[in-house]
Amino acid sequence: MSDTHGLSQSTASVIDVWIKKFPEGKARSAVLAGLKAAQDENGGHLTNEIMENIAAYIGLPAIEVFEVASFYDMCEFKPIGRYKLSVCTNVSCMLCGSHAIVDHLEKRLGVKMGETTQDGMFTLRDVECLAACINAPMLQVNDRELYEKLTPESVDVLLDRLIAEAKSGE
Amino acid sequence: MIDIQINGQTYQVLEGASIIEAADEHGIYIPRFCYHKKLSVAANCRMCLVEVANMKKPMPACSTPVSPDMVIFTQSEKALEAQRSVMEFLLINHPLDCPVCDQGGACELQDLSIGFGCSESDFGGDKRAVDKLELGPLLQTYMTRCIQCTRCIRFSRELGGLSELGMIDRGGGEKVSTYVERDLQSELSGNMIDVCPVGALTAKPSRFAGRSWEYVEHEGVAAHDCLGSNMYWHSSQHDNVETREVMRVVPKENESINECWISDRDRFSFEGLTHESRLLSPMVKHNGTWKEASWEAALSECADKLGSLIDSNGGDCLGVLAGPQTTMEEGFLLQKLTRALGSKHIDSRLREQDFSDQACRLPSPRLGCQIADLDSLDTLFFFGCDVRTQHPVLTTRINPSIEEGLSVCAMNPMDYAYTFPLTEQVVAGPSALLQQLAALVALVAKEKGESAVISAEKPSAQTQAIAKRLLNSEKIALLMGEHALASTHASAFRSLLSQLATLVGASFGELPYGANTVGLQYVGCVPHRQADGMALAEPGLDIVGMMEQPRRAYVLCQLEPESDVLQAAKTLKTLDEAALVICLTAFESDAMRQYADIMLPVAPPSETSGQFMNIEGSIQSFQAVTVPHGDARPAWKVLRVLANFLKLDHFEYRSLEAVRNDLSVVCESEDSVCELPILKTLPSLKENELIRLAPWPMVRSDALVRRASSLQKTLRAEQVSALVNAAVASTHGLSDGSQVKARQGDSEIEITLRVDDRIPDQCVMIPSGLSISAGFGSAEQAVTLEKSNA
Repeated sequence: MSDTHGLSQSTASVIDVWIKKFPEGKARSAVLAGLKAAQDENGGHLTNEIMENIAAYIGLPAIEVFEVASFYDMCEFKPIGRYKLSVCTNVSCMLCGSHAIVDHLEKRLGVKMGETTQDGMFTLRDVECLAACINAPMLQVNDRELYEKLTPESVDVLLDRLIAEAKSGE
Repeated sequence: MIDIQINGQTYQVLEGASIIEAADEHGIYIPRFCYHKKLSVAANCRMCLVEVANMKKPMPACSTPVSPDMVIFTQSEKALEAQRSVMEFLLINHPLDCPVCDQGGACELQDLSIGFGCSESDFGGDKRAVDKLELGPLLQTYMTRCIQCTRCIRFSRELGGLSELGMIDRGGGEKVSTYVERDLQSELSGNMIDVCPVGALTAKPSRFAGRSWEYVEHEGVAAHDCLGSNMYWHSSQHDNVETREVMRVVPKENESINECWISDRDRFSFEGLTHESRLLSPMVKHNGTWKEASWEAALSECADKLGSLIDSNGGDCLGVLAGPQTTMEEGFLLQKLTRALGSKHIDSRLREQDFSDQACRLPSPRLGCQIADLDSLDTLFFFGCDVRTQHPVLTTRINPSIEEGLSVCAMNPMDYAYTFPLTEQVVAGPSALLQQLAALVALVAKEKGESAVISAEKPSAQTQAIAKRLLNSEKIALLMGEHALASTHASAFRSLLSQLATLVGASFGELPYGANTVGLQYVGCVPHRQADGMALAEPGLDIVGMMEQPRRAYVLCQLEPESDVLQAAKTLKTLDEAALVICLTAFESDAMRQYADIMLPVAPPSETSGQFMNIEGSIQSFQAVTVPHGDARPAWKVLRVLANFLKLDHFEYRSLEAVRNDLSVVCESEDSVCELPILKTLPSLKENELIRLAPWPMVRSDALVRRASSLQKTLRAEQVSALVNAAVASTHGLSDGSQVKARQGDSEIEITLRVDDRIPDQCVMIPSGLSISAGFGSAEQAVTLEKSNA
């Protein structure tokens, strides 16, 4: 496939890799990997155009990509902060004090759950169990790194580090 | 076959069937929402839970296969309790708005909640609401009523072949949507209304017009394509036939033709019946002014004028054309009248222009196989056929067959937007298409060890691939479509295709346009055969000949030449110059007021009884649903009385049955021997000409559908523009969106140009049947394009 249908070469090659992992004729299995790659590349969110491009590249009707994207919480459809903090508020984390973590985050960042800070640095999300109950409470940064056994202090350390990282990156 | 027990009774059922299939087979009702016999099993509504002995939990009947000696209870306390609970869950979010819901009275949810629900709910929370969804001019949505059975989604994917709807979001927020708001593109979208078990999808054109229980159902035959899909007309005011109106159309099941689907054209064309251009009384033109007349006056004027023209010029001065909604009885009377008046010039093949092989063709076109055979083919080969827009219901058989291993090959004059994938395809302009078809035949003949009958150019890679596919398939059908039939090379195409069919052992058939084109040819509405199918030693003039050698008088039955024939410009000019043009028509038009001298209002399909013959050759009869509007009369009565006025013998028909009796006697002696001439050399091909492809969009195919207002709104920009590919556009100095002048002879129109690379070189697609292209030029012939100065 030389025509990438508007996708970047790197996203297209991620899709190519995933198509190869599945039996022939099951190319749709690469949709989720394609969405993730394209979302990362686009600064954290998907647009209709990107999803249609993925559909065209894989050879699916666009609606079948929309179905997958809208099913998964990790897919974002509006611009979000540089760091997405997904705080688990499910049973184990709640029993181990996720309320305090949520309160602290909301106070420190000045936004409510689901919102993005004015400077575009952080987006807060409350999510369901991310399978790290043994070290509850926990949060996840940008759908990748887990931070466990959280306290308000360790959250501050994490936030300071992310802010510093963002600044040095600029 | 295995034995199972349902509710204490033992039944023999097919091994591998699901419980619900087995129960349906024996007339035992199990409630269901998501299960539909023509769709894949989703098992997501859980309404069909039944008790199975030795199973702890109730089982979904739609997805549980039967096993030997299975003991099933569909009415036990456990089963009923499970069904009641499911019903309660389904009703949690369903609004109780049946009194204002169009589905009320015909709603599966309503019925089942009466049969299986309970009157109270334990649910105390807020009901959810779903945003409205705009799907275009045909489907009205009210998505809060949706119970997520996914029947519409499965229909659109599995049978419609276009995945347009999907289930987005999840859990409690799950909803059926297009996600990005866009109108449905499917030609079969109306079937989603039928499969929807609730009032989430209803028909926009017939919305709030009446209640299902007020309607009465009349069996009918779809009047827009040659498949003869079965359907029901639903009419209001059933106790008073005088004020009865057609309110809507729904499909009628016929496993061998349309299963349970109809096209949007068949479903929504009824709107045209009440169009303002309906001709409601006979009209006569005197000195250029139209005046209403009584039937008596109009018919005696017809008889006088026609009689005196024939007296002074002989019967030969009369030409007669019949449109495809003319019934077999009407066609029979029309040709009888024509021949009784001494004319041989009658034709009903409005969209053909190459008649050189007519003597060798079947008396009427045939599919070459049964429609249901399309389900079990290995390879289907379309030649010049846009099956999706011309015969949409056929695609409900092709789309699912692709999954079963059917491969479809095509040779087309443009890359049609089929709803199914093509294994191999050749796209080329008419001349190149002929070259490649000849090359295909030569190649296949060579592979089969037969001596090559035709010398051809080198086959293209795709042609070779098609040859390979045909040579390696067992069950093959070749179908010649509307483009190929309309082409100036039609006889060459037909000869080559029939040779090809013989070589590979395939069936070969045609897919002409129109509901009764087949029946009209069968009853002798052609210049070369009589009603009994016997060939005439000296054939009369065909439709092209009638315009090239103008007649003094014309009778046109149920057609609008400006929009219905291939050589529209020439036809209009000839009619304008004729001394007398009598139109038997349900609708009038400005053009008709120009060329006609007498207009007689006749009944469209819902207002007349009659018979259509479909492409399989089966004759289907139907009854009038309503009385004709205004002073209109069924055309068979008009023709009979006209013949009486002309003092012709043997036209004393008292009833339609009497016509039908005569018709069945003469048609019995049909001989169906058909030996097409073998093409030895290709016709001379002109190069460097721009050829006009002129397909009729689905919603512009005949006078009735052209007046169906909701269907007209589905026309997309590319269907009302001239299309060329980028190369042709640049050689002509044209760009996308520019206005162009298209010219054929003296005929000229201005139209918006769009660049579309589905069109091959040396071709421009200018649709026929549009108001903008009415009366323009000739289809499938050379055209010039230039930039418009305006």
